[in-house]
Amino acid sequence: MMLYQSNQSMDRYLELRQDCLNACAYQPDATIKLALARIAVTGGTGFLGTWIAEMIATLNDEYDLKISLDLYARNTADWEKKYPHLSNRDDIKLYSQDVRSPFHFQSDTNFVIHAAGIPNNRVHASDPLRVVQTTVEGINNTLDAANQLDNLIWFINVSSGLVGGVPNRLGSLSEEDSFPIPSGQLHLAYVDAKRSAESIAAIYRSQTRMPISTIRPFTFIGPYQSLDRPWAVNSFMGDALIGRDIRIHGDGSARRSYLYGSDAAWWTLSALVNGVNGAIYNVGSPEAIGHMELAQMICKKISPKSGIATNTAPTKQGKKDELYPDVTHTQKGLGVTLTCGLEQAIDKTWRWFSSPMHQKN
Amino acid sequence: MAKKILISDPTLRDGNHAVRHQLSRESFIAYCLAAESAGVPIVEVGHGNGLGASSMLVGECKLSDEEILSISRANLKKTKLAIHLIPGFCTIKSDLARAVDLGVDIFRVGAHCTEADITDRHIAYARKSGKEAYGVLMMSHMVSPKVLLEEAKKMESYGAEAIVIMDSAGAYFPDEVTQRITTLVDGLSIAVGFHGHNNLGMAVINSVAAVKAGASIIDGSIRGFGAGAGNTQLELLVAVFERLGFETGIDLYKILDAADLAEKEFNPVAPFSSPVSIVSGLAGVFSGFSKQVTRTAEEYGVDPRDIFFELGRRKAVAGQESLIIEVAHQLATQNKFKKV
Amino acid sequence: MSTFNKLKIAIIGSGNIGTDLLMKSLRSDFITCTLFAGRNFNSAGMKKAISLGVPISDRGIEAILNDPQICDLVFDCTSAQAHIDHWTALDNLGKIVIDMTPAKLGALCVPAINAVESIAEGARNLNMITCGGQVSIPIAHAISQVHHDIEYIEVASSIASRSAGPATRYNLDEYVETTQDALKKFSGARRAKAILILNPAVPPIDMQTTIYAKISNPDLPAIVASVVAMVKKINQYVPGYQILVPPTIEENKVVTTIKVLGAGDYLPQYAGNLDIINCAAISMAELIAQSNKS
Repeated sequence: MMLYQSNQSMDRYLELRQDCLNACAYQPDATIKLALARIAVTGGTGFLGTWIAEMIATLNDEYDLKISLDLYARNTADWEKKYPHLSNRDDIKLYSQDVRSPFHFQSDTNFVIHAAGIPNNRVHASDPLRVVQTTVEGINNTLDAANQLDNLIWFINVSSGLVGGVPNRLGSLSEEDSFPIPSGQLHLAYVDAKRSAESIAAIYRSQTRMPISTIRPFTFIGPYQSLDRPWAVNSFMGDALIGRDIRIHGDGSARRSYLYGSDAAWWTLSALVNGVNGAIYNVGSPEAIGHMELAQMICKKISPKSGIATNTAPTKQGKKDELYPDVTHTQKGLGVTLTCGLEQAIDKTWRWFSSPMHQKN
Repeated sequence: MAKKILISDPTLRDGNHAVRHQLSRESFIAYCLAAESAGVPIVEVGHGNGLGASSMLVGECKLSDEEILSISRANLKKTKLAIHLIPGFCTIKSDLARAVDLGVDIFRVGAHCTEADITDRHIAYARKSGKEAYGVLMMSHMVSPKVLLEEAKKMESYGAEAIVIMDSAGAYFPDEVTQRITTLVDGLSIAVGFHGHNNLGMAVINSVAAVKAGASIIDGSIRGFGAGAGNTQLELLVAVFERLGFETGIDLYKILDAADLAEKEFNPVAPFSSPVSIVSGLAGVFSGFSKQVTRTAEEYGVDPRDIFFELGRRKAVAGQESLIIEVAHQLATQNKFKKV
Repeated sequence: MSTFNKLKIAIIGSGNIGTDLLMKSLRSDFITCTLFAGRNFNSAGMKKAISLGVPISDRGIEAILNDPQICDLVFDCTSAQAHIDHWTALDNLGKIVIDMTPAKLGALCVPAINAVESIAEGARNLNMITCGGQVSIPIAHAISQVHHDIEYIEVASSIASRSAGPATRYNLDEYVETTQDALKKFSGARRAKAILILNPAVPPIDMQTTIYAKISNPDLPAIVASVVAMVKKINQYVPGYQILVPPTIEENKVVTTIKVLGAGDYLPQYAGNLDIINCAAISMAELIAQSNKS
């Protein structure tokens, strides 16, 4: 019985490994450029960091690239316990570090991915001070630490798809799109902090000649994400998992896109080796889907089916709400492509969270 | 197409303040049946200060939360059962979990209008349990519309599906309501509601102003049954909204019957704006203090109106009944010196 | 008194609680702070410690694990979750820990009630319960010494909104549950209820706690005497603790209100709620220091 269970557990991770292989298979040149690299990721125990770890493990095991990965995070103990298949590896090291405090990278670090931050909007509401400090002091300290590396090849600032402001039109957002946001707004503190972080990165790039690219993530999806994270897709899955009606805020016409973890990780690594100095790259899926269709897609997976309920503020009827990226520039510039489409991504995520193995953990 | 308004009826919760939380089983049963029969969409029940609030601080309830919720649930079929709750008075483990089990549909999580960030876990818990969660901002007149929106947005990010602002002190004038509701409707993507009190005789017109500014949820209590000057009068709201062309889904004759029933069962004397209510409304102090202020004033031999203005000056918050004794004590001491 | 004879204490957690404890330790004749450890050199507390010349570390608990001789007693001002891990490590090193978090792994301690017993029992993990608990439990206990069979105790605390940070707000439920459990334990009351109210008044209000006890035939004079005696005991380590409304009988209950003014070491004066829990913690550390010598 024990053996069967552990096989099931390994099966789950085998699928993730296959996802990673698919995500980079079409870019052998970029893959090779990562050989023997030492990569540091701040916020390394988050969603992106964990998928990067999965990707590095895959690259090392399958192609023997001998990449070293250092994950820096405020709390490393929980991650170590949760993902021993990653934390027990020799090529992955964890460093407990709060980015609000000045620190150093390992001296032979070549690549830095600054992913430390707090994207959870519940915390934006309850502790915006910590969010802003982590964002602004965090990037300052990380750039400072990177600046002291003799062998730094590239630095990626993981920004946010929200920095462009709240769109006043429909359609995808390119990296050039920018909508005015009023200043001094409490609920926009995170966005303002992320915008400051992009400025600070530009300053280091110019003043210290550090090679930096920025990626702007839109919504990510996949295993390794906590269903507690307040994105629509998580709350729909959460509702469905407990057998309740899926409840949608609004009339269901809001549209978002969801990029699967393996593609998110590979596009980020690709930016490390193919990124242009000073460039900004949207990292997200271009395949938008309305909340209603998404809820229906998830419903189909459950038997007996959950219902769907909408909660529309009457005055908001007809107010269009879309937030998803145009990734033409990213795909052209980095040579990346989507290997896991929307339906597949939803399906994989659903199977991960509804698996009895997951419920146990 | 008539605009729809969702009426939420706190007769059996806010009204409990009027009888020092002594509403009987029979009253709960009778009113639930009458409300459902009239088509009231949501009935809110419990101690005046919400789940877990039965206490010496704010008054002990005749019935336990468990009893109230069981008998209400048993007598409401189509109508949704709602509760009011304030973190700090109740806990998830002891109180909310049981409320979920007893079949509550809507959890209205309330906080003072500047303290929305205490509601994160309770709203999350209600949502995770598959229930509806509203955020409620109390004493909402005490902050500017901009700050009110900031606090409402926090509750929205915690998962609240609607925000209801309360005129806990009955202090609002219609223009103020219009301004606040407009700010909230513009800034939020969830429904906005208004809970009026009648200290200055403006509960109904304030509710109408709220609806005209975009509110879609309005609280109203039968015969205005509630603390002090009472809540917005439910049957009046139904009548007025009907004439203005808004749909509440409530049958006018049947809600008037419910008013008659309420008069017989638990509210023989409808609330009115007493001098104390007028003063508390002007002072911007929670109307629910009335009975305790009157009692304490008598005990200490001071003027209750002076207590109210002093509480207003100190910006007393709902739930601070212990402060009343202190203020009375102080006023009495001051009076002694004045006499000498 | 030379530093050589003082008990060496370390503080983990460089937030407001930890920094206030640091300031108090500097005034103490019996304890000396040999390490102030957190995770962030940029925090206000760390900068304060640097300015005072106190040894600091941004490695948190690791600073002690890497140099176990550095201290004998540890104040853990981090979080309940972190404390669980910290205690395992510190227990192995034989350290005494005063737990300022709601983890409640160790012996519940209210200095005015069980300081001596806690030390005599050799408890090495002392938990300071909650701020409202430190205010109200002594009074509940004092009443229970007159009336052994209290049916119900209720404690309603009002604290300035400004004194309640994100952690307090997130953990309201834990505050209520911990305080209730401890109230029952120290007063023998059959039922207990704790209420916490955040008051946003400006200027911030001082911390106030009202204690209600449901007692049949209360002996008011005896209760008053017991409470007054208890307040005297508390004043030895919390000078700002005062009776605001003396015990009175209201209908079927005994009611009394306490106000706590903070010392203003690092926390503002209105944050008496935070000050009292720190005073209690320091008082225990000093007693341990003194008992070690004897």
